[in-house]
Amino acid sequence: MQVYLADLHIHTALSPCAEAEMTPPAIVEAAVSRGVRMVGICDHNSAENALSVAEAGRAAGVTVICGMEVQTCEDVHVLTFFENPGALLAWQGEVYAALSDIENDEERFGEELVLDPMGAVTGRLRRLLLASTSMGIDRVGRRVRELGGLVVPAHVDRPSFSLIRSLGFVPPGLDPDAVEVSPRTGARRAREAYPGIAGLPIIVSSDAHRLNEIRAYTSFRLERPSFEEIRLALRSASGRAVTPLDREGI
Amino acid sequence: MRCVKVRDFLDSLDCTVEAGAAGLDNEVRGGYASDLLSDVMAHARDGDIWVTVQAHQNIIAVATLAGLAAVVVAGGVECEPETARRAEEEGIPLLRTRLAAFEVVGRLHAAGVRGSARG
Repeated sequence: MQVYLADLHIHTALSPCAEAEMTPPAIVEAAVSRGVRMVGICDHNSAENALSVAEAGRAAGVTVICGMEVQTCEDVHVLTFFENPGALLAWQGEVYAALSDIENDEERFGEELVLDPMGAVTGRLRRLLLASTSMGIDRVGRRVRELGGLVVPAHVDRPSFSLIRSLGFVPPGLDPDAVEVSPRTGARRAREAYPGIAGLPIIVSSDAHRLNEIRAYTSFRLERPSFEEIRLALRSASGRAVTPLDREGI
Repeated sequence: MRCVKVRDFLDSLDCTVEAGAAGLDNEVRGGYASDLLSDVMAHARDGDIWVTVQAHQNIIAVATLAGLAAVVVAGGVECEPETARRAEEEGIPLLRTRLAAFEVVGRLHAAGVRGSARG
């Protein structure tokens, strides 16, 4: 077993609210420089850049967990992760079909850039990604499970777009694989403040929208750095473990 | 305000009873409007009729917890089947209307229902 430092919630320049500097090679380089060996790519309601970052990470020895930060109809943000690119793209198709069709105003919200593994712009999305889907959180949980993915309600400690804020508590039957807490609050304080998350694994991640926000906020003990190993660690199975690193990260 | 019941508002709110008809004689003592369930848990009062556009099953647990008289799902939002099932189970009237939340609150207020002035 080895310890792997991770930051599983990072946006790319695809998210309008993220900086244009969030390109695949730059994200990988920032991760390497901070000792982060596993990154999660979670843009808003889209995974168009995740595979490019995965490609960029391969050469540098950074493992990329591909995902998406989906906004449910209850205004809850949920991180969804997939190992299989086919499942990821199938899920993206379902999210796109459920996403409100509002045109992005680049001046106002920012650009939505599709990038290749080298960081070159290969396209831009017309539709605004900062919007709700028509899917409820229970459906999101069910579909992601069916597609073999992981379900992690994002930043449950935040005043907006959080499961706890919008829905009061973890819905019965959702059974998330973990919940994410912001570094500002940290896992220890979140456990005190939200008794409803007792018993659920916690990951802390940056939710980075700019390069200097990327940081190791969670440590995993794994056999090897992979999606399946993370799944095992979230269940504390066979000696694997997940440990949120409170305070400033590493 | 004289004692008013949930059923007294069915016409003026132009709503359908999706579930929980057993609670239609619940007394309405006040009103609350919010779409953040954590906020409702913290601030709604016993006997309030609650106006929201959330239709997730958790709204019924919140209504039960806070002792609310009824939940009005506004804006024509579809109620999830699980939400209706829980409302039926708990006997919490789950009302659905095409009227927007603002209009629902306005009509309730005009009928004498008041919110807390302290927030």
